Amino acid sequence: MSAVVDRIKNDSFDEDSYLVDRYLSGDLSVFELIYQKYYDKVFAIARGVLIDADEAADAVQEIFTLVYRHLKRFDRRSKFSTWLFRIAVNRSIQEARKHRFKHRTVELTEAAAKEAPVAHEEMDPLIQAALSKLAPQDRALLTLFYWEELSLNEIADSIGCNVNAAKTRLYRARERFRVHYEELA
Amino acid sequence: MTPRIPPDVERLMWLVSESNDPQALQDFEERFPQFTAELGRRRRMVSDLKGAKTVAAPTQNHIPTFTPRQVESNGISRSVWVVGGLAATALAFASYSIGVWATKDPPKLPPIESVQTTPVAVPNTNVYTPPIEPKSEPVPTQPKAPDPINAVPEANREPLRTLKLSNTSLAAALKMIGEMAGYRVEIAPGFKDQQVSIDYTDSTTSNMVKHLGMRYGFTAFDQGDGTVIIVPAVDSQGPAGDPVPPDPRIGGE
Repeated sequence: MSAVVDRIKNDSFDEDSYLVDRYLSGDLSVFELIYQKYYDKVFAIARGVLIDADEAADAVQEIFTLVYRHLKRFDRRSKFSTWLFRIAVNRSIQEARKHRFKHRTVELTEAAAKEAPVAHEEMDPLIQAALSKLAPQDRALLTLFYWEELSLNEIADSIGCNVNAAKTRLYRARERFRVHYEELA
Repeated sequence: MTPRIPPDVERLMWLVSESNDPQALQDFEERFPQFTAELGRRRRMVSDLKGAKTVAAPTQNHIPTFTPRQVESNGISRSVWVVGGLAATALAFASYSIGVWATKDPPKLPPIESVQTTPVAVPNTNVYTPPIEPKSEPVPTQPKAPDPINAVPEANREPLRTLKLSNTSLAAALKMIGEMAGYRVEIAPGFKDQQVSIDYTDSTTSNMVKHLGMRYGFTAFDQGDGTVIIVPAVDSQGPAGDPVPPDPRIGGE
């Protein structure tokens, strides 16, 4: 225990690495700490990509389940948070593609019932409408940059590309969002 | 209408909008007053976008308890597994049916009468057999021609005659021999006639003429038309190398 205290006192102490080490050594209870610490960020990513809050909450559970089962695959070449965000982005994009057909079906059903689609009340309708017109990959980039405020290096690690590519993709996504936003404004 | 924004101004405008630094905003508006309205729109967009996060995340009290789920591997739905299983079952049944059909005994046919056959020796065509050349009957060879030198002279087949003359003209004697042999003798100019005595017993006329020619210096040439010309000249090698028969009993002079 004293060793843990010493590590905490150290400026270079990495809480995530410590928690991961404890989890891998058999203390499964520490995963709840990881979950509590990163729930908001992972939910924000999932919400930004999926837009729908319920789908995002569902995706967060699947994301943390993946992390829970495959944490031993974390190779420590990047920060734990970057590795976690990469899983969150990929899984959220996967879920968005899966739900695309479902959304169209729901829209058609609602249009047949002559019921206006209800926007999620917790998000600015204009932002939600503009985000809805983007591809899931573009939404993920904007979420990581504007909501998680990650650097271009961290974004590049999270989406699995180099910094220049991440920068180019981010600027294009922002421009596409601006066009939709101004059209809808 | 908003004027076209140069790329470097565009980048600067995004930086100022995202930084939201009052000093940077003031500097930009002083430097590019024509883009003030555009800067305001972008600031509002960035602000709205960033502000959307605050309502996206639930409060700490709303964090649900984590319970690991049964994650679907590779996102393959249960219906896909069901359809795949049915397809595999159908494929297995079809494979089994084809296997049974292919391996069952063929229908029995009426017995076939057995026919005794004699095996025929078939030449092995893989072995090279040179073509048989037809054996030709031995051609009877011509009897070896007699050696022109060692052959028995034609004169030997001439009838043997006996001629005895005394003090007779050589030319007359030659004509007499010609009459005996059946040909006519002509004497060429320059022939030196003389008186001779000859005595040939059991000798051919040819040998008689040859012998006389060797002795008295002339040569007899058969013209082929039944005429023999006596030329007063002697071949030093002798006629065809034919040896001069031994002088039987030659007398004369």
